[in-house]
Amino acid sequence: MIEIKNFSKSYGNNVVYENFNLSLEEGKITCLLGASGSGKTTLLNALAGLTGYGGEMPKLKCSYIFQNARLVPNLTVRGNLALVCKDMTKIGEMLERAGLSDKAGRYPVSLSGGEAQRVAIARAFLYESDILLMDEPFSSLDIKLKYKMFDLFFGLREKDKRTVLMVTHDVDEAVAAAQRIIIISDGKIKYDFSPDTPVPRKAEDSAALREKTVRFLLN
Amino acid sequence: MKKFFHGKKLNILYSVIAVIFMWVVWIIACHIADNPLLVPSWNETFREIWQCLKSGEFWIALGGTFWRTIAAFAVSFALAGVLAALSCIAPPLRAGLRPVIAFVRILPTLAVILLILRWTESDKNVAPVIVTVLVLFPMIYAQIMAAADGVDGGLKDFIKVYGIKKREALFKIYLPAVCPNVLAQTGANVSLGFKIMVSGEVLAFTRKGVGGLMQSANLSAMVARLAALTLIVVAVGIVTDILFSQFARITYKWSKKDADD
Repeated sequence: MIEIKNFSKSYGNNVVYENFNLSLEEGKITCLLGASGSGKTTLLNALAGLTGYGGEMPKLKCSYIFQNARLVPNLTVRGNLALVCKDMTKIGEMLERAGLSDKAGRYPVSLSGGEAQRVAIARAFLYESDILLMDEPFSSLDIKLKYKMFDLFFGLREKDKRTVLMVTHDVDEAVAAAQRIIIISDGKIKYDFSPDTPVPRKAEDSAALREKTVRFLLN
Repeated sequence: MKKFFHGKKLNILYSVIAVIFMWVVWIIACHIADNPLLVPSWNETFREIWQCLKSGEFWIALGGTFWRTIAAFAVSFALAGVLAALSCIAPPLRAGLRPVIAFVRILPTLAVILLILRWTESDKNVAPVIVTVLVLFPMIYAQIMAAADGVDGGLKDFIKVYGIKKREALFKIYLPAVCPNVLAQTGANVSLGFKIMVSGEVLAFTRKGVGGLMQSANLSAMVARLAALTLIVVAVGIVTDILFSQFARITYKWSKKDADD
């Protein structure tokens, strides 16, 4: 279990979290769902050590897939992966699995948004971390590309059952990928449920879960 | 006509018009002054330019000035680069350097050269170099720090989350991110350095330097020669700026095009 205890965070007079508690099951995909500005990214940034906070956070090695790929522009795709992993064999295998072998020598400027995000996903899986944080990683992509990214994500996750904490405001993203969905509002957990259908979800399972999740969100 | 002069050609046309305008102003000023010891005629000045270009002494002086400028630029760049890198790694050093840099930046150049001439016991070659370094170093340091501060915040987060080692972050992320901005200003920096060097040489009366030749022409009241040397300095400054800017442009291929390794 990864335990977050009494997490508190404010920006000036704006209290985002006060004594927030959360337990994450290891090896599971948990999704924090909430409206924009509900403090989802703040929680990820605190876990990643990017922002100060009050309370107790576990010291974890984190991989982080940001909203945009955040690739180093002067390094090729291979060079970007080599920043987080020194084993060239592993890098070669990852490039192959992510379908990036033919892009290995390209610079980020010549990649499309989808290709750059593929590199970011490959980089996150290549880095040996305790948890994978995902901050609305596919929000800027069109629906077709979004589902391609999910295919890649679940393809890479087949061999690597890493704990994942994903935040999003997109119900479809949460429904497609999450084994546990937590709806937060005003820094508090509003709903917390674990659908029993396996991920990646089939269309018929998604439809029912989507309806339930939207109902909770609007409640 | 309109079809022929567009884009780059139009810019060249405007430049030619500006040069002709300055030339006309010169002719008018020459007529108004009516004294070659105040404003020399343009044909006399161009005759002097030709005389300079034919003389070996001039080329030795130009080479000397250019060499000292490059040396001063190299010292300033290396010093600024090392201190900027250390400032990025250790923020307290940056805070400590702030008043030092501010002090160096506001030092009155001409007064300093007189002091340096006393300290270096009349070494007329070293004093202009030191003054040029004193002008260029704080400027280049500020340019590097501004470029470092401009590195994408997202990349800084990536470095922190993925625990990228400081050395690797410096050489693989920060330096390449900073270089295009800093190198783009190299041409302007070197040409400014050249200008400062000539001023320093004038004051120090450096024998093998364009500034020394200028001072010599001034003492002999050879105004046309002085104007000729001034025009040559301007031309060298422009050529230096263009050459170094072109060099800088080809050093960062990754920001423009694709490359397979």
